[in-house]
Amino acid sequence: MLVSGLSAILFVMGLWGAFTRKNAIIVLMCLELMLNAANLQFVAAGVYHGDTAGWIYTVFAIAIAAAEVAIGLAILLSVFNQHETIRLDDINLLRN
Amino acid sequence: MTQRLVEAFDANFFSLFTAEVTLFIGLILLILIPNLGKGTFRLPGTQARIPWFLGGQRYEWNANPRLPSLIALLIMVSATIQMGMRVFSENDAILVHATGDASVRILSANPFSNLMEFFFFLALTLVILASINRLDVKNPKDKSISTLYNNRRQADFYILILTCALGMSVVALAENLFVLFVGLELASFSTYILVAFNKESKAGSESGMKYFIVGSAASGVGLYGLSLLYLWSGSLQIDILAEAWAGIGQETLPYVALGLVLVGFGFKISAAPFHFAAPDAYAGAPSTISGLLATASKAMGMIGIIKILLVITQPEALEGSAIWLWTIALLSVITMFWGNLAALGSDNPKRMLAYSSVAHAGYMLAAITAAGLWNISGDVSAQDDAIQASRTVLAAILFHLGVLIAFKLGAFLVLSVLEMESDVKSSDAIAGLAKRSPMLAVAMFIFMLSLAGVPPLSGFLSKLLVLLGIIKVAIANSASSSFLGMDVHWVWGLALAMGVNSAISVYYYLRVGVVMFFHEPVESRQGPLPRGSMIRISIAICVILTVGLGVAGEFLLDVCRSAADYLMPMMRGL
Amino acid sequence: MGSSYDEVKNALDVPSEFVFIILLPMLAFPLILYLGMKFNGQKFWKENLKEGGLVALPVMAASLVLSLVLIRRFINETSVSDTSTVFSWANFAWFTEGATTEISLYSLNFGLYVDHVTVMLLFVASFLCLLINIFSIGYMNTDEVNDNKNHRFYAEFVLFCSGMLGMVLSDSFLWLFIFWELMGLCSYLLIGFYYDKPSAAYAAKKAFLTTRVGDVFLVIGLAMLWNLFQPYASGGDALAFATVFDHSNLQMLADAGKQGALQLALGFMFIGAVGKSAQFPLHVWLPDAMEGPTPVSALIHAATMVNAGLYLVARMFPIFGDSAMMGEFSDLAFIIALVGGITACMAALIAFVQMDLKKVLAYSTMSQLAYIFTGLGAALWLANSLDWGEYPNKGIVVVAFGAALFHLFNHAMAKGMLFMASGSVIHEMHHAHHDLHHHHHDDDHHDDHGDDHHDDHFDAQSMANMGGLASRLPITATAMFVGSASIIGIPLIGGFWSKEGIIANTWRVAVEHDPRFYIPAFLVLITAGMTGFYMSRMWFMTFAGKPKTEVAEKVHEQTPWIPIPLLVLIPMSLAGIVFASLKSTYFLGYKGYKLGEDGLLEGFLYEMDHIFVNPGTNYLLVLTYIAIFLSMVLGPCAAMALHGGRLDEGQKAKPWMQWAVTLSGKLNDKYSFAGWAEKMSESSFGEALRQRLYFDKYYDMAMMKIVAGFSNLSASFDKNVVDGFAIKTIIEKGGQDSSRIIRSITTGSARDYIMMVAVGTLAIAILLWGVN
Repeated sequence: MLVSGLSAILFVMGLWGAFTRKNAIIVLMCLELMLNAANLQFVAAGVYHGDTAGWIYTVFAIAIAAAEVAIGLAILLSVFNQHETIRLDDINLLRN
Repeated sequence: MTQRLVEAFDANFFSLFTAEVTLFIGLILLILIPNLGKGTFRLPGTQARIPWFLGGQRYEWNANPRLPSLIALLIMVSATIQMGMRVFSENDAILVHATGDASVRILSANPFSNLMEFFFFLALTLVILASINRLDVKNPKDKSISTLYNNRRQADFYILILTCALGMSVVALAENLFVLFVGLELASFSTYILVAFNKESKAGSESGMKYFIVGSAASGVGLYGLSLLYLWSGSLQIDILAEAWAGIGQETLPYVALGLVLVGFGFKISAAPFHFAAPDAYAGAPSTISGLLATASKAMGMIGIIKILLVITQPEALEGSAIWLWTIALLSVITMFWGNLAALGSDNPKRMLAYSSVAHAGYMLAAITAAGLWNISGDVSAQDDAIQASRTVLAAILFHLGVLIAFKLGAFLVLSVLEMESDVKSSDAIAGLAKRSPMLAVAMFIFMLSLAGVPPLSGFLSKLLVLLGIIKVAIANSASSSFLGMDVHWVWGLALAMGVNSAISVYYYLRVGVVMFFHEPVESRQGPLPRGSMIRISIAICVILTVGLGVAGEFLLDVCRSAADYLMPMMRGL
Repeated sequence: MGSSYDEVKNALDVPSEFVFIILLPMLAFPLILYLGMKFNGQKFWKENLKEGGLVALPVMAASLVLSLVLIRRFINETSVSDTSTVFSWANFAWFTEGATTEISLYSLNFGLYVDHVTVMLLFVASFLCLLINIFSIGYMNTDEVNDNKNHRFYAEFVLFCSGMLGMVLSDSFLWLFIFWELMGLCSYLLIGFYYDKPSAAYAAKKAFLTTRVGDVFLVIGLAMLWNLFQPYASGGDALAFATVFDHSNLQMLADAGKQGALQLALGFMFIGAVGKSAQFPLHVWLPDAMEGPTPVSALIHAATMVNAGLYLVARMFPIFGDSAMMGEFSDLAFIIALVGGITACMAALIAFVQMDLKKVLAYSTMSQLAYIFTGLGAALWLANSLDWGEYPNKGIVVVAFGAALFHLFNHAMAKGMLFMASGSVIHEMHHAHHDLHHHHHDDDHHDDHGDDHHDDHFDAQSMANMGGLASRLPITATAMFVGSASIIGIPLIGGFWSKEGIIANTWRVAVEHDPRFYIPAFLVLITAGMTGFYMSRMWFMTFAGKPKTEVAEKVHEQTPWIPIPLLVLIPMSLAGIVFASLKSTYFLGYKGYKLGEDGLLEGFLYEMDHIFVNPGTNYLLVLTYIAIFLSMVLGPCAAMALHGGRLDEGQKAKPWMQWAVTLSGKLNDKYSFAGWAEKMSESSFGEALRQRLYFDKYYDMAMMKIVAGFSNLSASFDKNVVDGFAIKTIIEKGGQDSSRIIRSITTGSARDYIMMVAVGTLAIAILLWGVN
């Protein structure tokens, strides 16, 4: 249960950071934190239930996270090309 | 209905999933073919160059930048046709389990998944067809950097569409929530990039970024919810989860997990308050992609919600009401009001359609709530009525998801014709469309009428079915007594909210007609519209479907019913 | 027990040609629109075809002729004992149910349904539509404002007619609703005909939104009705009259204990009728529809469209009257009567102080429709609660129902005439003002702008600018005179018979059965007197006394086409007794009960005897004379004293009106109540009446806060049909539009979006946790 608590803390940190930090890169890192919280939980739960599926889920989730970072950085690059900033608050052309 | 068991990746497997395999092969072809060329490879230490056919100067036959679009169209059409044949001929279910262990289920092809896949493929085919003009190739003889760059991106676009299709079919087929999640992410990642496809513009990149960040946050929450579910039950396989849920006690963990998972899917169907990125994304994305998000992507989210709410947690509701009913009812009412009210004041047609899509999500959630009520009554004879009513609602949701492709996507396609001349940012873009292109204006007006629910168009039928289904549930679940003192079930409230919202929505849909028919075109948009036969063909298909399914859509409704039938025994915990 | 609905069903053979009653105007719609767009501005189109007026005319005439043939066949080929005649025209299946069982709505048959109610409404609708058409040619085509726009008017008009006729003839509630909506759409377009005028656009929007409120309830009611009858629909539409009125179906519903649900469904449908027929509290749109610039559209609404709601309620009669539902729906019947009573009294009160000619008529319309609702409520109560299969009770029920429907007929004829006459007055006032204006123009070349200014401020509809027109507009004055008399209920003239019937039957229910009915009964009785006052006030202010402005002195009848419908309608309104005798025989033989004998004379004698000498019980006789006193003596005399007066020297009205003018002059000299009347009108009550009892104000506030607040419409949307200036200012004033608020939450910052996701997550988790 310790691990679950740890992962919960990670998750809340990630979610909290995702909407309090202004720099898009840090937000991206926070999103990774959320995914990793889930990974931790999967591994721990796999051990807890004696089920290997949880580890497999983790491997997949890590792959997903990697893809997500790749896509995210690519999109952020193109945003930076256009807006010359990656501060999330300054990128609000589209609203209402 | 018979159920066939198949091992994953054996010979039978490939022959049964031809449509998906076609997609996969097509994807590889699409990556390879435009890259074939006279590339050579120097043997280390020698001067001998061995041709290895990748890279370098392209051959004559694959130098045409239009090639990827044609390949993609071919692949997608063939997949759609195969899936259509499966939908309208096959009634069996195919269960794919892990090698050697029949209890570990991975995928299942059944009437429900076939139907959903058919919808996805149909939508994607129309998107591809429209994109051939929308993302036009520049003159291949021109060797300037921007032209080459543009033509090079042709392949990227269609590769992403095909991966999106693959992801969506995995979602439809999944028998395991994690597999479903992987499919969802595959499709989502493709759409993130597609939304940001106009990366040379500020709006395009911004919309892509917002959609990506908010979408990732939502799916992060969803994945964490899945991990909690896994922690609770030890498996994410849908039937095992359903079984575990039936024996649930006074635990809090699974409910919190359920809520978190709902967030992930709630973002996909753009339910309030997870919809915020949607209008921005729709406004900045190419219109064809906005149409994709509003139809296929939303249907994908709905599959998740149906599986979670109706298939997994339903058997739990034998006593009293299902635990999530109030939550979802609240969510649906907030969503429909939010969407409609916001759409009411929106001047940008794309945002208006986005908000209307939010409202539609609200209607569907209301229907889900009603479907979840099926076994509240303790009275066995009344329960029959209630089960029938739930089945009606479920069929109505599926039908709605299907016809939505016809008119919602159609409306976005009309906007994308306008986008070919310049960005659609306000109602000025559609002003006086009737004078510039009467056919397009009429088509757009038909789509708007259908969205507003005017008979005999398919939008009317689907809305009517959903509404009637909800009312049926309400009637089946309430004992009638005298007037005024009548025991009115609270589901009536949902029907009422839906009625009120439909009335509100008529206003802004018809306003589009007013602007198109009575306003003069603005300065910057005079003269004839850009030509584009493919996009017009796809709009014509949408019009035909909109009208045709409204007048004679019975066959589709029948298919939706049998898909709902497939879900029902699962709902009864069989 | 009472008789069931389908005792006798006689199918007429080869009926399909009658569908052209609906189809002809419907087909004329695109034709006129097309021709108009093509030939606008050309001479033959403008003069020979009257910009479409003469295209519409033969179409409407053909509809009328076909209707008359249908009515004649109905009368001849069905014996009096037939209840209804149902025939299906085309059956095209739409989503008929396959092997599965749960939904069988989607078979949509269209057929014509003809019974006594249909016949009555069909005649009213097709006859009035034709007359309105003739009137429009005079009214619309002589005003240059309308040049090159008239084709739009005629196109919308024929579509409207087709909606009305379709609604009356359709054979299921579903089709009724479809045509109902078609009519609503056309009315929206017609009220907003001058969409560039803010007031017109505002009125159109108000009408649309108000009736929408009713329509939402109607849809819900229909959905409930469908659900109730869907198990019994045999291979067809569950909303078809044949299914809904079927005795065995109703019996099965009653056995299943579904009476409450059925009453709720009918109640919701009634709210729809309330919206369409402008009853309290959804009445606010009708006066504003008058404000719309064309009296013609006012006429269409007041004389024709508002009957739709009444028709819907009258259609429920077989359900109320079925023995399976005996005594179940008395609450709803009471509510119908109560809404009628309240509206009747309230509208009459407001009509006391209106200065605008058309608005008086609008409120009078509201009040008279309310009478009919009261009468229907009483009739439905009787039909529902009495065991009326046999003679004495059967007579009572049929008379009550017949009285209400007959008042519909009389009111439609009289009010149609009154509106046309008022249109004539206004039109001639305009012309006179225009001539005067030109005269000045010739004299004084410098003052162009001043004249325009003057033009803007002259109100050709205000009765304060009229007076003494009786001698100047003889035909119009006569028509107004007869119409007012019919509405007031002067004995022996049209509306008298039916109004007496309604009052008597409401009292009968109150006294003999249900004391709750005393409320509507008293209200309608008082209203009879008030009607006498405000209708007389209108006539005397307009036609008697000295002309109050220079313009009124110059008025004379000069426009072609306009007098024709007036001349046709004067005898129609006068001859109420003929129809009263006829109705006994044909129109009202509902459920096969026949009142009088076959001949006209016997019918006449029966009616005379029944009303003046021996209505059955004593209190009814007393009541008759009270009502006659109130409406004929008290109300008109008060009006004469307050607003009457002699004509100018040398002016003389036609002899049948001169006596009234002279009498009013005498009364006015003697008791003018001037101080008292002024005090009354200055009191807060008078002010409240002038403010229409503040309904509009509060509705506007509500609209500002809710509806208008929701929509921050950009300027580009506003210019056209949908939007008007008024709404825009309301929005700007309202400011706090929730659409903007809601959309302002969409800040554009991705961080906020994630925060909302987090908040939503937390909320859902807590909700699920909490429920657990």
